[in-house]
Amino acid sequence: MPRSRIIFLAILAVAIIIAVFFGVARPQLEQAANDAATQQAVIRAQNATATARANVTNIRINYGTEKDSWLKAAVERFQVAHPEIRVELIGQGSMASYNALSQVTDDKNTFDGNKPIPTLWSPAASIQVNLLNSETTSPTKLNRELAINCKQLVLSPMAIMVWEDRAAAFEAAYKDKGGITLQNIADALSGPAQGSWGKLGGNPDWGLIKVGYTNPYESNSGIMMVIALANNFYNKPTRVTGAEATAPDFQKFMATLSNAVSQSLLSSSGLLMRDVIARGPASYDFVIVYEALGIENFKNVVGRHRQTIRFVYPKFNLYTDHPLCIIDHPSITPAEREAAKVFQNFLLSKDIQTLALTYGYRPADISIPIFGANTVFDDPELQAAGVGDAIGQELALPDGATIQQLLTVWRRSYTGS
Amino acid sequence: MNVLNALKAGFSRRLLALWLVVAIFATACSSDGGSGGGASNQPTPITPDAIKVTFTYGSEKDAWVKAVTQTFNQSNQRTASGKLIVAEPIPVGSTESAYDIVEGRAQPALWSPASRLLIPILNDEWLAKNGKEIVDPAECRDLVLSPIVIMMWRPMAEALGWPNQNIGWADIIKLATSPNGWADYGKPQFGKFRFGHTHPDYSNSGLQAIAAIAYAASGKQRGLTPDDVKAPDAVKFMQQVESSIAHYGRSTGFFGREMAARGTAYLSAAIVYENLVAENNKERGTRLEFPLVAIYPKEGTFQSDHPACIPDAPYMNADLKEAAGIYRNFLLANAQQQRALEFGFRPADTSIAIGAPLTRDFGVDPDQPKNTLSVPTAATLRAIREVWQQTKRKVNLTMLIDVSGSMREQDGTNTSRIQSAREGAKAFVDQLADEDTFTLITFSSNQLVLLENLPVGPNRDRIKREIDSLIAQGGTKLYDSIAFSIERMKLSTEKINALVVLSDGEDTESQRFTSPSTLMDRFGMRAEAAGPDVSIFTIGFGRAVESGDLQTILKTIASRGRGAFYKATIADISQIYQEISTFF
Repeated sequence: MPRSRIIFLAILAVAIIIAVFFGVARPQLEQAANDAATQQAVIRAQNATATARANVTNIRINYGTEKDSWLKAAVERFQVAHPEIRVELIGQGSMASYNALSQVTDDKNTFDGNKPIPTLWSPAASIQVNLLNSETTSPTKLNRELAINCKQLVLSPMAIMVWEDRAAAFEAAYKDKGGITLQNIADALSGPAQGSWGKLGGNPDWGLIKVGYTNPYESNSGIMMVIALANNFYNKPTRVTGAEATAPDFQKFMATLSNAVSQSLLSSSGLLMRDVIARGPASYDFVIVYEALGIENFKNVVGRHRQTIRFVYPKFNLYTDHPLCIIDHPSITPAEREAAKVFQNFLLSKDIQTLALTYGYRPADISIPIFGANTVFDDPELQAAGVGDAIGQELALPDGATIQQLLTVWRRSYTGS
Repeated sequence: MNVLNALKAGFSRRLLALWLVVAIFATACSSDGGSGGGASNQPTPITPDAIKVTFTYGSEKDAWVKAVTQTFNQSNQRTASGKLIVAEPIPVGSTESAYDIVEGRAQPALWSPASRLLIPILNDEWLAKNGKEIVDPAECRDLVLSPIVIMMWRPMAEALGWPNQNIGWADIIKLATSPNGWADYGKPQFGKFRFGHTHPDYSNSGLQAIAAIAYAASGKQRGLTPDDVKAPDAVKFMQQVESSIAHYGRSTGFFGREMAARGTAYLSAAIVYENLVAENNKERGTRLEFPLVAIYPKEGTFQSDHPACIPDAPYMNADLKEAAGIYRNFLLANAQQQRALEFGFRPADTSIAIGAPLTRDFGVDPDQPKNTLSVPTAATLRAIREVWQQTKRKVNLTMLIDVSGSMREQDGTNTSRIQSAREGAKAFVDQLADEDTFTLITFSSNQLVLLENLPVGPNRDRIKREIDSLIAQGGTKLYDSIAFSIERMKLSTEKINALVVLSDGEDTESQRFTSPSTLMDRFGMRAEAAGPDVSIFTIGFGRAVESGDLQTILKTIASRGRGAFYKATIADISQIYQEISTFF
C-alpha cells in the first residue's frame, strides 16, 4: 500500500474517532451527566416548592373589573411584601357576582358554575353588599350576612363622558338651557331633532346621538345610572319613591335614554370603558360611567382618536365606594380569613391608597389629599376637561324595593318585556 | 447526497473518503450545542404531556394569527398542571365556523369570528340543539377591531367625489342601476360597475354588508325591525344593490386578494374589512393597477370586533379552558397587539395609538368611521337574511364537464373520476336557487348540449338524472369546448353569468384554439378589459392536474375569466363544487 494512502487512512481513522467522540460519545456522556444533575435539581426544586406551598395561604378576590389596574398593581406589591399569601384575582361585573353569591349555600364549596367560593368580595358599591346581605339574612337562606367586615377602599363619582367635538356642538345647541345634562340629552333624543347630530348643529356624519352604559342587571355602574336618571328627572337629591319610579313620564324618560345605544350592553364598567376607547365616537357619544375609568384612560383616548373627552357630573350624583368584604362561609379556613384581613389592611395602607390616585380613584383614606398635592387629579389637561371637586350634589339612595322597581322599569324600556 | 448514492455515482474512493471526513466533521459540529436552531421553526409536536388548543377564526386575520401563534408555540407555555400548550390555528369563514360548531364538524377550544354578530346566531342554533347556550358574550374578549368598508380603486372613488364628498349606499345604487355605468361620472373607460361582497351564509363581512344595506334602505341607524327590512321599498333597495354583484364568495380575504391582483376589469369595488385595504396597499404598492381606498359609507357601518370566546361545550375540560385562556391572553398582550397594527388592524389594547399602516398613505382614514350602526336583534338578522335570499342576484349557470375516456380512471380508489364528478355536480345543483337557470354541456372529442337554459326549481330532479347518466369516452377538446360554451350562453343582464368547467386532462383535439391565451383573447378577456359578462370557474381534476401544465392552463382561463381555479381529487370533488357554489 502506498505510503500516502496509509497516511490518508490514518488521518481518516483519527478523524472518525474524534468525530465519533464529539458527535456521539461526548454528547451522550454530557447528556448523562446533565440528566443526573437535572434530576437532582428537579427533586430539589420540587421539594422546595412543596415546602413553600405548605406555608402559603391562598386567597381569592372576586372584584368589579373597573378597578382592575389599581388592584393588579397593588397585588403585585403585596406579593413582594407578603410571599406567604398568594392572591388570586377574579374580575366579574358587580351585579353578576352579587347574583352568583346570593345562591351560595353552606353545604357546597363552590358557586357560579363550580368556581371556588371567594375569600374576599369587592363589588363596585355598597349597593350590592346591601342587596346580598338582605337576601342571605333571610331564615330561608343562610340566616346571616354573607359579606362581613366590609371596608371602603376607594371612591369614584359617576360622570357623563363626552367627546370634545360632540361636547362643543351639544353645548352650543343647549347653551341657554344648562348645556350637557341628562335632561337635555333626553330632550335632544325625543325633541324635534330626534337625536340627529345634524339637526342639533353638529356634523351630520355623526348620525344619531349614542349613549353608553352597562347592563344594570350585571354591573353596578348600570344600576347607578338608573338611579341617577331618576333623581335628575325629579330634580331632587332625596330618595326616589316607588310611585315616582313607576310614573309614566319617568318611564318615557328612561326609555328615551336607555334605548339610545348602538352597541350591545356590556356586563362590566371596565369592559365598557375599553370598548368606548377602542370604538370611539363612531359608536359612543355620551358615556355614563365612573369618573375613575375616564381619568385612567385619558391619555389613551387622545392616542386613539386625536381628541379628548369632557367630564360632566350629573346635577344629582352618587359615588361608587368599592367595599372589600370577607365572605363568611364554612369553606373559608381561619388562616384564609386572617390572610384576607392582612390583604384588606394592605389595600388601606397609605402607599396603596396614594397609588389609587394614579388610577383615577379618590382614596377612602381622607387624610390623603386629592387636589393640590401633585396627583393625577392636578393634571391641567384633566382639569380643563372638567375633572374637579364639584361632582354634583350627592343623592340619597332609594330603598331596595325601589331599586328593584327602577330595574324593572329599565328592563321594560330596554327589552320591551 | 448520501453514501449509497455517492457509490452509485461511481465516486472515487479518495473522493468518498474526503466526503466522509467532511460529513463526519459536519455532524460533529452540528451536534455541538445541541439546540438545533432549525428545529425551532418546526411545529411543536403534540406529545402525551401536551394539550392542543384548536383555534378557529375568521380568515381575514389569518396573517396576524399565524405570525403570532408561531411565537406562542415557540414559547413553550404550560398550564398549571404542567401541560405544554400547543395552539393550532385554523382559518374558517366566520358564519361557516359557527355552523361547523353546531354540526360537530369543529370543536375549537377558542373561537374568534370576525364579529359579535355571529354570537347570537351560534347560541340560537346551539340552544335549539342542546338546550343551552355555548358562548357567553361577556366572557369573550375582542382581539382587534376593523370597520367594514367599501374598497374601491382610487380613480373610481375620485370620480364619485372622494375624498371631499362622503359616499354612501345611495351612490352605489345609482351606479349599479345606471345603464351607462361609470360614463355617468365622466369615466366611460371604467365600463360597467362591478361589485362584490361575500356570501352571508359563509362569511361575516357578507352578513354585515347586507345588514348595512338593510339599514340604509330603511333610513334608520338603530332599532331596525323585521318589518322595516321586509317593507317593499327596502326589498327593492336591497335588490338594486345586489344587481351589481359580479359574484359572491366564501371568504373576505378572497375578494381582498383577487381584486388587488386582477385589477379594475375584475371588480370596481368590494365590501371588505379596512385592514385588507391597508394590507394590499402596503404589500403590493406599485404592483397594484391603481391604489385602493377605503370608503366608509356615510349612512354608517359596522365595526368588526373579532371576539375570542372559550366555548362552554361538553368537549371542553378544565385543562383545555385554562390553556385556551393562556393562549388568548397571549394574543391580547401588548407585543401581539402591536403586531396586529402592522397587519392593519386597530388593536383592542387601547394603550396602542393608531398609526401606520392605518394612514391615508395606505388608503384608510383613522378618523373614520364617523358613525356605526346598531347591532340588529337575532329576529331582524333573520329577516335580513331572508330578504337577501329573495333579492340576491340569481345565476345563469353553464356546467361544462369533461367526459373523455380518461374520466374512467380511478386514481387508486374504488370510484372512477366520472362517478365522483357526477356526485359532486349533483350536490352543486342542490345548492342552486329555484330561480337560477342551468345549462349542461359535456365534451370529449365533441360537445354535447344535454340541457339548456332550464329554470332549476321545477327541473332539479331532471338535471340530476341527466348528470347521473354521463358516460366517459373519447378525447379532450378543452379550448374549443369552452369557446363553444361561451358562444352558446344566452347572457343575462339580471343574473350572474357563470361557466363552471371540469377537466381531467390537457387539450388533445382542439382545432380553433391552441392555447388558453388565444382562447381568452377571442373573447376580449384580458387583464385590462372585462370582455363578456361571464365568470369562468375551472376545476383541474385527477392526477393529470399534478403535472403542472393543465393547472397553468386552467388557472389562466379562470384568472382571465374573473373566476377561480380549483384542484380536485376523487375524494374532494364534492367539496370543491360546494366551494364554487358560494360564489352564487
